[in-house]
Amino acid sequence: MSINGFLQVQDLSLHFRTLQGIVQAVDDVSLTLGKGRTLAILGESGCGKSSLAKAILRLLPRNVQAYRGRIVLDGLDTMSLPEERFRKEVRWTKIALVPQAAQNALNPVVKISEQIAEPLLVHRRVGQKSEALERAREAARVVGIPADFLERYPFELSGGMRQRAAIAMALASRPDLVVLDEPTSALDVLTQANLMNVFKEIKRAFGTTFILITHDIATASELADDVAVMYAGQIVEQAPASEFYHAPRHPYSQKLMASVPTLREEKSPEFIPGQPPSLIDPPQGCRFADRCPARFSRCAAAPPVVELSPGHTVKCWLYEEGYHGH
Amino acid sequence: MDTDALLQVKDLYTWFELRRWGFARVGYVRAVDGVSFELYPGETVAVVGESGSGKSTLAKTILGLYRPTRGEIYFAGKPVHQMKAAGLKEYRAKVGYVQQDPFGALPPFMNVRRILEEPLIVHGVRDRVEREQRIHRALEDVKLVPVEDYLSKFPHQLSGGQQQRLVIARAILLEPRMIVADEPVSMLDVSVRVEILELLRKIQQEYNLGIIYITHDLSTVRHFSHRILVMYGGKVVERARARDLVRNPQHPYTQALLAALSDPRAENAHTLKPVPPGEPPSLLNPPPGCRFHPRCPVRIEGLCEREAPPEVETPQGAGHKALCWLYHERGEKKEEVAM
Ligand SMILES: Nc1ncnc2c1ncn2[C@@H]1O[C@H](COP(=O)(O)OP(=O)(O)OP(=O)(O)O)[C@@H](O)[C@H]1O
Ligand SMILES: Nc1ncnc2c1ncn2[C@@H]1O[C@H](COP(=O)(O)OP(=O)(O)OP(=O)(O)O)[C@@H](O)[C@H]1O
Ligand SMILES: [Mg+2]
Ligand SMILES: [Mg+2]
Repeated sequence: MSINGFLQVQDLSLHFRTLQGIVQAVDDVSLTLGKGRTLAILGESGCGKSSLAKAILRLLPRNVQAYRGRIVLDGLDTMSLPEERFRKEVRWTKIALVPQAAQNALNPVVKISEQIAEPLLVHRRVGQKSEALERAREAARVVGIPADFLERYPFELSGGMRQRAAIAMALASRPDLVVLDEPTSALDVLTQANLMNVFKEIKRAFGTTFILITHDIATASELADDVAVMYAGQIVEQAPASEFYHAPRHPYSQKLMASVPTLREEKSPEFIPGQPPSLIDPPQGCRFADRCPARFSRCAAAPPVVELSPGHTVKCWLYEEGYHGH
Repeated sequence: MDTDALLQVKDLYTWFELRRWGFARVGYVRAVDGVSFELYPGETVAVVGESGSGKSTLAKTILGLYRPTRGEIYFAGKPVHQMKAAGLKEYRAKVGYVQQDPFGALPPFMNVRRILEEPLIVHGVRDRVEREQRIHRALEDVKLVPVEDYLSKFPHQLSGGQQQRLVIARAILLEPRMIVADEPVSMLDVSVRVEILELLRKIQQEYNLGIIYITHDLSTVRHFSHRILVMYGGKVVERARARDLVRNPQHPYTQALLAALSDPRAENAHTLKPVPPGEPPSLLNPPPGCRFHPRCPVRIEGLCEREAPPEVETPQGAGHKALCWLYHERGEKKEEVAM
């Protein structure tokens, strides 16, 4: 991971207004990602992963209470751009999103080929419809959709093929960064493995940079160069995958890894007792403290972000310099 | 007949008639196509397989929700396939059902107390105090405690894991002898999955329940079941004790399934996964011969695409069986000829 990342996210927050109070879905998140690398964002349901994706693509719902921070993509400070320019120069062009459950969100009355071409035409990336369709065919080939499926309608395809169409849609505009929100969670093991192969090949052939959002830690290891763990709206650890999968450092990351059932090892999976805190009025101190086996007095205050080695940071008091209790 | 078995399924077929425009019969969807197995008290049998392989249809047929096209189902020696309405009602009180998709399984406008009280009323528990006691016990069993905090909550006020626990509470409420759990944890986070599966195991041990655990997630199956049946295209293609099946898969389909599954390791990113080409078979027009042959890397030409394989004992022994010509003497001979 380079220090001057291709993508740099600094203190990004996205809060929603609700009747119950303000939901701090994304709270002071910082990330770096090098060009051509894949960052997996891992975390349990409701921790704010999709909200983070929306914040990066500036796809904001009406009830936003706060949206602040800095996002720099390839030297361009995207958050300072007015909406008009962001839409023209960034969304779909530089950053594309494959939204969660995309395979169920295709338009049922539009053929697959036209569906893939649509963003190109709508966002005026290409002038001619024929050219857009050509680019759509190209993208379909890359993700492994057989040519004769292109003239079919979504309901005539399996879930796996529909998901490929959604991915082709994102790739057709040749973006620099592709955000994949749970791209394989709803699919079968074999379809899942197939798609991960597709991503690996795209990465190798085109040097595409990916953000892979998922709660499936095992599948994420198929693509990730770097890993960020999200808990209750915050990033609690970011690390190169080789370090993370070998030895996660944040107590939550450790518990999360221990909960993954493995096929090839004897150890029995464990679970994490308790539940994550509400994102409305989350605790002032460490948000994991009340479930943490290693908590101590300092955890009542918000923990610092400590750099353990280049590219490996952890938001936890245990690693504070001068503290050697662990 | 095996008299110790809690459940016996013998050569079961459930086909759905497919009609076009309401009258012309197009054919049959062979969702369950000749399945046999037994379940013993205190045992968990897992049924794994891809989407559309017939797992839920098998579950619903066992529960008496679908009439089998052919075949027999015995529960504690009684023929389920011949039961009339009254018999089925009595049977369903003894069998808990955790249906796929907990979010659709719970009526949104009923609170927890009503959701649990209704089956008790339907099954004739007249005494209000007894109903209240049983509701409390079920909620305590699934650790929705303190019970008072939950009784008046509605499903949308519960987390995914809590909803799933409520579905399980409803399934054990009538003190069943068997539970059919269809994808009970696939919608949940890993850390919650393990919690729910541990919970089911505790309840099983306490009440000596037989459990049918249906899922496509092989990694949990290995830790939470005694025996595994692998389904492909409506048929059981392999069966063995859980550990044996995971360590030494014999059917090429099971081998592919296991090879496709990742353990969390950074090294995975450096290699492509081996995946068999193609898609699962159509159940309307299944391929002739073995249903896996179009995708099979080791198919025997001249045999596998022509004749459906019988179920044979594999060299692993100990009841480890596969529906595959590779382990049949005819398949072995063919291979020698080919070499
Ligand atoms: N528009 C909104 N208004 C209010 N709250 C919202 C809104 N969108 C999301 N939330 C809340 O923000 C939190 C984070 O939601 P988000 O969808 O980002 O989670 P996630 O990590 O993607 O979860 P999952 O794994 O289930 O997809 C949740 O508590 C959710 O209910
Ligand atoms: N009531 C029905 N009428 C017609 N066809 C049906 C019916 N129910 C299921 N099928 C078909 O039978 C086949 C098996 O479906 P089933 O739901 O049993 O699969 P499954 O293994 O449970 O899949 P999943 O993992 O997606 O839940 C599918 O092709 C399905 O479309
Ligand atoms: Mg999400
Ligand atoms: Mg099913």
